[in-house]
Amino acid sequence: MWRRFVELVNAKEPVVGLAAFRVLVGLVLFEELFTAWWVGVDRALWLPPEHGGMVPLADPWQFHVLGGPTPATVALVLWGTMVASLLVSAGALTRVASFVALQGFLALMFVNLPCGGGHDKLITNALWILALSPAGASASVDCRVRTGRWLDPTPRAWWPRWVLGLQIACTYTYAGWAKMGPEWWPWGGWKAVYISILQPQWNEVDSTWVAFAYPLTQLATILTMVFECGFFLVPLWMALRHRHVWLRRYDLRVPFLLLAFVMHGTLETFMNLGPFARISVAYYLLLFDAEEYARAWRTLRGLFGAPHPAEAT
Amino acid sequence: MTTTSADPDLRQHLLAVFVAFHLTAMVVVSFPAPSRSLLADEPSASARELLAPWVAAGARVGLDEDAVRGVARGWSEGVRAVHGAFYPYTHYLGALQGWTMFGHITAESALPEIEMQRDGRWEPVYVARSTEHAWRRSLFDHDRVRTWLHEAGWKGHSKGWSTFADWALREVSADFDGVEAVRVQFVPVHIPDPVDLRVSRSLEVGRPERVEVRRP
Repeated sequence: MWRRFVELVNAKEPVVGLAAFRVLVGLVLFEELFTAWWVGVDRALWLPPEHGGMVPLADPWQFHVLGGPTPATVALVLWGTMVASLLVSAGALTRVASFVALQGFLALMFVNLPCGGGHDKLITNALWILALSPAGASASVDCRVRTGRWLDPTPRAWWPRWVLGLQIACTYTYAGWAKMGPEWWPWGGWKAVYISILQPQWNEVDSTWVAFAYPLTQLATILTMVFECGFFLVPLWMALRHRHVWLRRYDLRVPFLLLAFVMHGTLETFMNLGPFARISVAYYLLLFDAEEYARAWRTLRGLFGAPHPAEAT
Repeated sequence: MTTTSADPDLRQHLLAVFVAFHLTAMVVVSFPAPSRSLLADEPSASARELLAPWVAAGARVGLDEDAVRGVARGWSEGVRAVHGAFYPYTHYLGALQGWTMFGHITAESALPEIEMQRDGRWEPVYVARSTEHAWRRSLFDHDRVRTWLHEAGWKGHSKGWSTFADWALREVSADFDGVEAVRVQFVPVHIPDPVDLRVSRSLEVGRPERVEVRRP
């Protein structure tokens, strides 16, 4: 069994989904930090009161080493992390950039912990594994410098893609199982989505009309529970489909991803949850292997009438 | 995906050990633990609401409320001890877990307000979600500020609400002339049942709480 596990961990595939994921993670992090800087969150939440901030702060090791959060050190960490996140997207010095972005973002998270959310943890998990992965081996500046081309189909380590795929499955599944509030269950009237949309803490617009669509919100609550509690079935299906032919007849990713887009679309429309939807959707790119991306690419080219490169020559 | 059939070397074994460790940390540290506020000796109304179905389920198998809370406390302490074992790895390298998102959503919330006194009269400066009283609205609308105000300001998990009032005095005084005092407060909001909301078409608003007044 251990031998089989070692073989799996050391398996290889061309870097496609992981490279696309890398691009999105960098952009999501940059957008989150840039918008924070643009509206003044850095001065309000990441500086202590003696430097004009709102609240007392913690002293994570990264700021401790720099001499504490001051206007100069916060600017250094913030802009350093933003530059590193763009380098992650571009795939330039990818592993180093991922690690720098990770430590910079951890410093900003831990200096004022109550202002974060689950999306922050999805970002840090992504950056840690990207720092160890060959995500910069293709569709990157690193690839261009190394090979003279933008794309490199050489098979590379496969484990980062499936470890990160398991991460999003773990996130959803535990989020579902941890929903202990009665509003998620029949004895609470399946009221969770109704209350969430109306919560003034999160909502964007006056949503009192939702009272007239209450049965729909109950259905959405049930579907959310099915989606989250059952998401562990997706990686399970992905692992077993190679052994059992009948499993390949039904692609379990399709219903789950359809539900995901409806759920995250609803959240994005009515609520302000930061980059939660965007970083979650980025993880979905990891649920498809290089062959599936190649098939999708051929189909797309076929749809637009472009000849296959082999036919064109 | 291609695998190799040759005997794995030491480096490949070490990589497998690391991946196994990471996966274990991911799965184990994600175990949800009931919050300490839920297991407090005198739980809040929200905590009692959350515990009620578990207390009822316990009663069906002959466990009283204290026994149910004892089981929950044991589970919580056990899970926290296991989390602690992985702390250095998850904390310093970003492999953070813990996914109790929207675990219990109550119908109670609150919106922050900032008022200033000029010529002896109080006037609103910032009212959450208002387009009329929208001082620094882009800042207050950012998800991180919203989260901080709700988690630390309203729920009172940090001492920051007091320093927030100091900050408001400083910033409002800088932006407006003749400021004699600044008041920050939360207006409690209750989300009614759908039947009532269809009639009232508005959320129920209470009297301001957590009022802090600062003078220059």
